[in-house]
Amino acid sequence: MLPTLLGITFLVFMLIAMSPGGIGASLRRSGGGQMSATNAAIRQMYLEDRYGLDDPPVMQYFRWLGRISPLKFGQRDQITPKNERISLPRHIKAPVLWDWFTDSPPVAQDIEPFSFKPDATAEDKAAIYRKAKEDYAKARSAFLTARAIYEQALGTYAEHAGINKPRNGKGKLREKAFRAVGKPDPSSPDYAALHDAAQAMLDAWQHAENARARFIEVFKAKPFPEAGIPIVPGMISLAMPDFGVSFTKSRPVVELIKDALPVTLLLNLVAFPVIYFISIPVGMLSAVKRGSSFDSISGVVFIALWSFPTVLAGVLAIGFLASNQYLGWFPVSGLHDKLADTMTWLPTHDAQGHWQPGYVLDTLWHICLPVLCLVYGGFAVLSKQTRAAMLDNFNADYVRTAKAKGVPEKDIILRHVFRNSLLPLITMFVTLFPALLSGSVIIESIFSVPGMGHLAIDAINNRDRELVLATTLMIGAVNLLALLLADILYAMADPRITYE
Amino acid sequence: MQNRFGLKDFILLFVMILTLASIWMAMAQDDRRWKQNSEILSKLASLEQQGARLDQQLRAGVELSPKSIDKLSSSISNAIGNTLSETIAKAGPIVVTQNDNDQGSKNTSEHTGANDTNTTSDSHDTSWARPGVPIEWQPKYTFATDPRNEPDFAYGGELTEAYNAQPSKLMPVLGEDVYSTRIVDQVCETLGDYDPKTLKMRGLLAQAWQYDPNGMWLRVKIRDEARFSDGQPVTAEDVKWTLDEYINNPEMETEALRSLLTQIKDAQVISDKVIEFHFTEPGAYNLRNALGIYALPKHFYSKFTTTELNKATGLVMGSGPFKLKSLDPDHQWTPGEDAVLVRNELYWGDRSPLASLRYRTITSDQARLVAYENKEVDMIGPTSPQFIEVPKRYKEQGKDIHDTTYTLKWVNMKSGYSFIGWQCGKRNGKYTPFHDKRVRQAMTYLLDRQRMIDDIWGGIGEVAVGPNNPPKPTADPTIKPYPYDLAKAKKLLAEAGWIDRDGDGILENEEGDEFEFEFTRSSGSQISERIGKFVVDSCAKAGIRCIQRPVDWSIYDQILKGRDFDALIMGWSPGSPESDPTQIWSTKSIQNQGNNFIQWDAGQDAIIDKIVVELDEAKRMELFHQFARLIHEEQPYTFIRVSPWLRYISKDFKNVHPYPKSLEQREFYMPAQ
Repeated sequence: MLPTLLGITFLVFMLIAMSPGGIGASLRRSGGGQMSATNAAIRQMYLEDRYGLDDPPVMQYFRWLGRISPLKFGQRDQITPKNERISLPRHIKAPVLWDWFTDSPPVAQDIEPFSFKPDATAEDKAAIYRKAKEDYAKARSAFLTARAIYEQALGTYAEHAGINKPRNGKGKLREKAFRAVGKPDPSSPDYAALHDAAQAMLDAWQHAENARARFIEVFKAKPFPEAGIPIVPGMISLAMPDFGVSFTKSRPVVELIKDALPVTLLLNLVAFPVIYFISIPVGMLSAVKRGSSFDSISGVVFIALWSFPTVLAGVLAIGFLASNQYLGWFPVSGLHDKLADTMTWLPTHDAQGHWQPGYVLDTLWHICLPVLCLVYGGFAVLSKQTRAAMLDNFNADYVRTAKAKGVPEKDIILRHVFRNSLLPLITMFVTLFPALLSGSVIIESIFSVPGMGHLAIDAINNRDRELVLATTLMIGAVNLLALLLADILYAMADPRITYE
Repeated sequence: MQNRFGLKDFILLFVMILTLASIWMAMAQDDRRWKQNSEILSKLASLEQQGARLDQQLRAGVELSPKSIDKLSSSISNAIGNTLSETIAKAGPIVVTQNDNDQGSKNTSEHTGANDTNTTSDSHDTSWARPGVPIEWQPKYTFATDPRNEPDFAYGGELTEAYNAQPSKLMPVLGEDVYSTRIVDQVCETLGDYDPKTLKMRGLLAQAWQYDPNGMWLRVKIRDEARFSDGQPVTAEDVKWTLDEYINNPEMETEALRSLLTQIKDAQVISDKVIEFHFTEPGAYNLRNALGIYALPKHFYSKFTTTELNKATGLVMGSGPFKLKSLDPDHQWTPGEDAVLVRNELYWGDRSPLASLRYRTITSDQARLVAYENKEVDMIGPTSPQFIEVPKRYKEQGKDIHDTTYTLKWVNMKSGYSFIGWQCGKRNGKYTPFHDKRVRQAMTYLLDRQRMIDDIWGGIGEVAVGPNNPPKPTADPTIKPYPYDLAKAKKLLAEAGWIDRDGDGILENEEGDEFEFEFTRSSGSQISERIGKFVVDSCAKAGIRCIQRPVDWSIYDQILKGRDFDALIMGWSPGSPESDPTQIWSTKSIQNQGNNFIQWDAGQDAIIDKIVVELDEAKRMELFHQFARLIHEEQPYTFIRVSPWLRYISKDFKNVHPYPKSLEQREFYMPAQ
């Protein structure tokens, strides 16, 4: 099961990474507004640094894997009193062509080992940590700014030095193109600016490395309790998976799913019983009355509904059922009334003795149209399945035996035939179950329902790495679980099936 | 035999589930009551606080405006004679100050700019100012059109606005999309803002400022009465905190704004109400940028860590006319719910008539219109086809849409424009035909833009003349758009050497190369598809072969950065009356993949470099007009259309005016029944 899940997420991730624009395309797009080139470069540098977007996709994937894995290696994360998880800072990435301006990359200097005083309170520790973190953040951002300016200077130099295509499609400097030409010529008019920018960058780099080393020292002194349970102390530990932060919505992915999932569940938990309660009895009846007008009419109606496109149905539902110009029975948008905040939960009478629908009924009334659109196409498949399975069993020997024994017709249908027809219905349920969680994009966008379908499509359109991976993982896991559930249900429904 | 699951078991199970469900329902019901109770209690607490503050203020003495003191003293003098009233007016707990509050009610419309108050400025306290530098006193920022004297004026009511897309988060600066910003702007205030009518920068929280004639510093005096929605005064410390710890804090995800404010070196608190900004170098936009900083309450936001703020979705508090209903960090607004703002009853300025503003997201165009017609929402932005079709439909039904709806269509400072950008520089090492100015002019002549607007956008919009269009002061009103003139286009092309030399209907240059170019447009949009067809047809008439190249939006950026196009269609939309021309037009933006992606270089830098350092507005506008004339002559872009804002607003509301700035929801009111 695990390899399958990893395979799915890896495939989806690589597909998105290789699509035009690549991971984080939307960030670059919004960064391209009316900003000067330098400002835009600085902003992009910040974003790429924060989300690690400048790393190769495979590395980004494995980093994500490391974060969601419950098994953690190396230094354990720590949990602040505000329940924020903090971990060791990432490496500072070396700028391109740094070796043109210095012999060795800067290393942290003069870092004395740090430990908290034995009588330091939790607040003291937190304050020292915060200071170190702030200093590091400032130093790192200063370095990033300096690096962006340095790269701009390189770009300007390249254009005048006649370097062929100094930047790739994503705006990154191509190291190879520069190396092909060789070290910059000090007599070039752009050299002075480039040299200054490089020196400023190297200084900032040195500062950032120092601040980082200091921050690591403070982190290692453990200002906060550590997360998870150690297995091999100092090396392997167990901890909660971390799904990260969506970089287009800059909110934790778990929270986004927590917002969207109940909406989708609500719609589907209302829709599914409706589908089952209508299509199974209809399927049974048409099997019993095979060839009757009921059989053919229900068949025609259900197939007709099944072939009707949802987009059109949604638009018609809004235009006729919701519009006051026609019927106006249902509300058009949203899941609650404007006054929902002040409603009681259950129906009640207000002070004037008027009947008030209350929150629950109001919500049900609001979801009527989306549910209708979810439901109508589902009847055909299920009722036809039921009908076919029942017909198979009607012709079986045991039914004839039961009839011969004089078992009443009703008992034959409900106790014998229907029970034995359950197997295909279980299979159906399993295929429908994941749809329960993934939501329907079309219906959600027509009715402005902020559900899972919306979230997933947004994530893909924006190439939002964390969100795409988390939703893929979730839907994949649910699919696999549903298959497992089906196997278990088979064994329960049919004594002949055992898993030895 | 095995005991099977029978009908009785089923009934038992059903009853059990029913019982559990009803217990849960009852608990939920109780929970809700509890929540409402606590809401009422918190409201009560804030009312008590307000009462206590009023009491305190009354004890400390009340400022009266000169008008009311006149009334008071005349009534007193009627009763007991002149001499006594004078002493009363000067003594006792009643303190009389020359307050600029008084111009709020009737004559606002006559007060348009900052200069009006110069006559009264003598009476202001100037001890905060740097000596020798003129102080620009600001009239109080109030309703652009005062509704309070209307006969049916009333306080109360709710305006529901439908948005096309979900606001990402109700957080100042962090919520970057246009919808979030619009909501946050009702809650948080800046030091200065544009006047809705004149588009001139004027003080909002700022009572006055001093701007260094050399442009190196700006000293701002914050209004004494300005306070946040919890009653705490707005201080210079709050502004400084916002700049240093909110916007410029590298741990905050505010880099979009941060990278625009790089010219502000620091902010220094001079006194409780006075703050001074220092700039790294003088610039025309420093004043605007510094005054555009929100004043966020330090006492509220500093309670949270940067991580909490970065991921927060509904922690917006400020000094504006509206506020968020609840600021509970554990139950924040999340995208998907309606966003509801309620009137800030403690607002320091003129209270807004409406009791609340509600924002609902309706993504489907049709659903939005139906929701409006059902009166589920009061304000929508209809699509261009809807804007044309709906009034027709009303007419067919024998109704007039204007009875119930304000149908607003106007160009304001945020209206964007669409254009075709011509590659003026090299593409893949070779000049395109558009390198020649005459060819670009010819292209503009041969595109009938009025017809494009009529056919493609149903006649909604105006032909754009340049990057700045009226009513913006940066537009040169004397410039008229190029007319459609095929003959002239052909003549210009011939002058540039493009003549049909072999009689096949396609133009060739001297080397015999045919005039063929690629037209890059975004795929998947009907409008861009129709523009593509129109351009191809128009070009064919002049003997130019145009090949469409539809591409996905996500690779547009790569194409722009790589300058890998001959011509492309795009749009820009500005956020303020005056956009810094450097980013799009300067030759500096040709380098390093900047936004001058058409690589236009025609000596514009001489003007642009003057614009960005010219502190005098009138002179800057003159430079802008000069720049507009250069662009008009050069036609680096063929400007197609200024897209006006379209709004349907219910006539349940009054005092609805489309301003050059945008709409002012804070002055709408619902007439008394």
